[in-house]
Amino acid sequence: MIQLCLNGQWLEIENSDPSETLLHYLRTKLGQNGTKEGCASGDCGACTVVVAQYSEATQSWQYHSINSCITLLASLHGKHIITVEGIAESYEGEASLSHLHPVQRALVEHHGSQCGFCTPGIVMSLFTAYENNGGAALTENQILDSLSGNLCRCTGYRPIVDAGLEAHRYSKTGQYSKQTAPEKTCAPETAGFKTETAQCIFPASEEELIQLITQHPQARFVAGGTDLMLEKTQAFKSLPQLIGLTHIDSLREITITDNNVSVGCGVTFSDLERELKNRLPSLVTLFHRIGSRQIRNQGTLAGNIANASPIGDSPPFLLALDATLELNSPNGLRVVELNNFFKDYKKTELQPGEYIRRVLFEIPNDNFVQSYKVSKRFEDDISAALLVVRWSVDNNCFKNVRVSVGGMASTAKRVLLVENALEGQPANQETISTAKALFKTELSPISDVRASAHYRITVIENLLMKAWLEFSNNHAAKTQCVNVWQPNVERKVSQQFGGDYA
Amino acid sequence: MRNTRPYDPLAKKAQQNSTTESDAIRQRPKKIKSSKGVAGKECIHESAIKHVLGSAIYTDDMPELPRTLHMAAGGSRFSRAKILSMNLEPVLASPGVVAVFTKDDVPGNSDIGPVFPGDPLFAENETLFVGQPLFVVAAETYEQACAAAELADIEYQELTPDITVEQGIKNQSFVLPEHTIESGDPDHAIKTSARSLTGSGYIRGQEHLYLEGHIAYVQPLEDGGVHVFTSSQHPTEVQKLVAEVLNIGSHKVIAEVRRMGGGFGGKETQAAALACSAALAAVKLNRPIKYRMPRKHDMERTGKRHDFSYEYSVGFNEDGIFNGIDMTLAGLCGCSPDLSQGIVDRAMFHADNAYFLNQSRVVGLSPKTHTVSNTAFRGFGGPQGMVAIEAVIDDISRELNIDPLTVRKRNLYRPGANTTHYSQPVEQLVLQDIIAEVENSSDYWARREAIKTFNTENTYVKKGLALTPVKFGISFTAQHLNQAAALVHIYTDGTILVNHGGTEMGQGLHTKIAQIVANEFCVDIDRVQVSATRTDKVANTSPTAASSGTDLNGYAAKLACDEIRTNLIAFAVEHFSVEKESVRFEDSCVFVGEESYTFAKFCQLAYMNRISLMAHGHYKTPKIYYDRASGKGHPFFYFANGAACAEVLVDCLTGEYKVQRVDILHDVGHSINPALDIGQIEGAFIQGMGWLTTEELLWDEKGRVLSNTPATYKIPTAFDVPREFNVSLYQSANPENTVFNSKAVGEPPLMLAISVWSALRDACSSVANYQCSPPLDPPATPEKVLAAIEYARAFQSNHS
Repeated sequence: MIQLCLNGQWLEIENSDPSETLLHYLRTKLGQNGTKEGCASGDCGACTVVVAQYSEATQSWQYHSINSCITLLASLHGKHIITVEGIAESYEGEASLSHLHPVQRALVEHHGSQCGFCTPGIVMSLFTAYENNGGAALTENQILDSLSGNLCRCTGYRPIVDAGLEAHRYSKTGQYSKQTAPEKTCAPETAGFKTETAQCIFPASEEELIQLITQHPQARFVAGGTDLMLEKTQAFKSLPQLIGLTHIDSLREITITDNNVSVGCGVTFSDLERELKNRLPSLVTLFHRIGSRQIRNQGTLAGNIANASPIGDSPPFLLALDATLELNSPNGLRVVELNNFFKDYKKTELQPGEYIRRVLFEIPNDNFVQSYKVSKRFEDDISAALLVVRWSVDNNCFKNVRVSVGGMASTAKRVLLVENALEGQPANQETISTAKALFKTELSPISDVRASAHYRITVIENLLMKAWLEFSNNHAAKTQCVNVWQPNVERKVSQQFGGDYA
Repeated sequence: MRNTRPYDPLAKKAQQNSTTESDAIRQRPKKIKSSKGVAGKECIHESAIKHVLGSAIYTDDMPELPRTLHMAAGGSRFSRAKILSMNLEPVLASPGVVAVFTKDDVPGNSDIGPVFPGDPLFAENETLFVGQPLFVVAAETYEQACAAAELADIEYQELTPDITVEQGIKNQSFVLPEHTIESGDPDHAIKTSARSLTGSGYIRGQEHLYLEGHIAYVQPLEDGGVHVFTSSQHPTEVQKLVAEVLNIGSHKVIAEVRRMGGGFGGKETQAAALACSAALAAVKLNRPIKYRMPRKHDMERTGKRHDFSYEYSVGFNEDGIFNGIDMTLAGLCGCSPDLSQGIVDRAMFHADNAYFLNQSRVVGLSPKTHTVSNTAFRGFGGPQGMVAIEAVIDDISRELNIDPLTVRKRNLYRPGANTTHYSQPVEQLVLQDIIAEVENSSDYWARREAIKTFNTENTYVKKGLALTPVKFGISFTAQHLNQAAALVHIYTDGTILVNHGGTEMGQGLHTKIAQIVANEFCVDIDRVQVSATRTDKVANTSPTAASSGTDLNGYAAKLACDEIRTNLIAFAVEHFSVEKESVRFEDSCVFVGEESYTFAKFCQLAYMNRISLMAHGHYKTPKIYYDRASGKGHPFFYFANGAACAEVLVDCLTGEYKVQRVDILHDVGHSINPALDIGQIEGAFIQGMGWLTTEELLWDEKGRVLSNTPATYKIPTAFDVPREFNVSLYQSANPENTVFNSKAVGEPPLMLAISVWSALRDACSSVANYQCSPPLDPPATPEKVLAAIEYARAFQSNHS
């Protein structure tokens, strides 16, 4: 059994297919068809809904957009869910402009929908940005961030971005603008669904977690589920035994003591972004390229590691930070270096019944830590190649060098030949040129849908050069431009539509 | 400071020689203002409020009737294989499964090819492509159907497939015969030209990625017929094919479309297979059937934009002006003709884009491959023909070291050189003016100089700039499709219901038609409702395609309104004994001399006097014909025009890039709804940009599509939109008699995105100081851009 609050109404869901998704539940059980299925894989955003959470610290509601198509219903015990049906004023018969939430109204008046199929998801993404910003004017970056997981095939997005820029000018109507969230909450407790053949349980404490593992040693762990759920929605496989890791407070903690960071396995990328924004901005920059805002609101750092993708995105960075992992199971805790964790393609050090409890790393004091991700599309795409470099320059020599890659081998890995060619050598372009030639000695990437082997090797070599150029730009005040992603113009509302801001 | 246009002696000469003609070009038609009413207004999309509330109903959102079953198809594992045996027992035994159907269950015609045969509903003895349906399964839930469809035990004998254009041509395997359009003596013209070039390239196709995937929901009717709710741009074809498959009359099949979640051509023919399979099961089981495909199946099993390979040989003078060209365009058709004839034809018709080719030969080939049959996609072959000719122009520019824009302008259709290779004269020469405006608004020449300086000063990042025109022919090239009908009902309360043959896929067709109808009676738009498209209301409709939705259906609706209005005026003349001229429709009222009646009251009065308040309008496009045998004719009613200027910033270490700024001026004639038209232009541009940049359709050597989900096939996101994106409508009326002198807008602006591709090539060329034209086959992914940069680098080091 779980309890959740949908658009202000508490629902008690006695039983369900343990691996049912929220989207499936909304559409087929509740007949709430506003939320759409575009891809069932978290890639298009048509299914976007919002999880609202009351923060005692800020005394305000915080909103997180998620892909309901790959969200386990069982994971939502105690959560407040807002869908596209829940943000306008209630109306009978035909709605008019005055019933709409400001983001809905801005979208209408700026002609931000054409076929309308992606629109409910777009509405919920903009709603999240708008409400988290207290209804004040949004910056272009906030809008683009909120829309990073929403595909629209009709409009070309300009009117949608304009609507985001102008939404603050519409007067506040709509249920959730009034901050009238329901008062009742339910106690955190072990919750989920169980049938004769399957179960999906989210324990509320680590003790219960260990007990569950002992009872069901073959169960699979689920945190964000952003990858795992594809087995259900894409391959139509059943997921009979699932144990959730995201309802345990102690596993949702981020602690930063001096420079030591400890990240519990229930911590999402979005949580981490907030905590590390000022401490380790280069990691946060990389996070912005992992999935979309919706995915980062669900996906966890530990899940990204346990998934053991050869690309990974966060593992190469963590390898460069010499991260360690705390693994736990009914047999006890142990600590392994991330560098020894990946064994082969999708194979890790994890034993049956063992989960990553915490990810530990130190915020480095080095001069330079940066990541470079190359993909066909800037946002929400999987890397063709990823390079992370870290070094200090001391007495004009490279020190403490780490060079790690993703997408270049069967696992994310450090490239020791290249590291060794830099370590202790003079910090200049010549050393870089010599070192970058060694990538192809150590790596033999494959050709696939994302890139050819030739491109991967060429680009990983060039990225090392790029890192050097960026480093010397920072440290020698050179002016050559090496980054194509920095905006050179502020986006303005370019079409004068709308404007009835009553 | 130099920021004026470089001196172009040719432009000067042309001006001196033909002052009157070039004045005529410059003279801009005045904007025609509709006197009253809502045509020309920026009305919001008729469903916009429902869209944002989530209350707009798509086929999958309809309440399911009791006993509804769900369908999935079992697809072939191989592109080309003999089916030796098929054991469907495991499928039938799977939980929730009610029935399985194969080709042996089809009572009628099982070939659903839209124009030519070749598209069997289920694979016959030999499979045609990976994922081709072999059978369908009906089960209690969608998930059960999808899971069961994977369980069949099928024995194949694999055969060697043809997967590429090259293989098809090599094996002389074609879905349709070769077609040639020839004008003059191109071989001689090329041979005797001062300069000549040859080249070739490969243009990849495109996945539609409409957000709403294919779906059909079929309800059996009491008389053996079916009511088909389909996400189709062509309900009449769905109706006809369902009737043929079931072996019943068309009058027993209703096909209905309220709205689609995007179409883009992908739902012109491809929706029929789902509707036919679901109808088959609905009749056999006497149960409602819903058939929607998982996204991956949708991307593997339905046709896409055609890949095209092109080869050319061109002769030109020292000024870069064409003397003659010989071009071959080969469109990868896949396993069947589908709509490929029209698509390859349209590529050939648009191999001139906006330019006078002089003596020319354009050959179109239609190779057959063992891949899914490619189909319509916004532009319908036109974009591929245009990419080819724009590549030629860029190549000539680099060869002569003249700015590509100058070469473009010199080759534009112009007085005395305004006949296309298929003999149709280009009567409205507006591109000189449109280009001049964009040159000006985008500050092209000053930015060209600034970019050259930037590129000299920067090694690792380069900028590129391009300004390209579009001239796109409007009409179906199949003459009979250029017709439409509409049914207008006025009720006694003065409200109006319109039904027409066009379908709403987001483009705003229903909104524009409501505007046209409201305008005819000078009533408020809220009084007009456009209903779902239904084949039992308006018969024998054409697909909503070829950008023609408003031109055809809008005119038909207008004609229906004209008839009712004529009746009403005649009634008033008789009833009130007044002159015809004293009856006026204005401000939701009818004025009869000094008296005025509310529109509702007047309609009630007419009804009481037994005047018909409903009418049917039928429209056919005048002037068009094409003779395939001679390759000559007048296939297009008129042309839509536009120009775009794009600037890109390219990372020379990785090939990554960002589109920085785009300026567009596009000709929609007298706009019925400027907001919707700008929406079409921007949307088409970004979709075209996706096609030419990040959207890479990849196949393996066995004919499996590798980019088969949105995780591996990347359409643009909001981030990719140019930060500076200036889009304007060219203020002019369509000189042809179209509804409100508007112009079609759906497809033409897609090709404005060629400017982005050309700008990327410009940036790559700058690496070799603009001395070479690096190959850059679209889509220009970062990988391809880096390869083009490496090519330019190699060229530079070999030539310095």
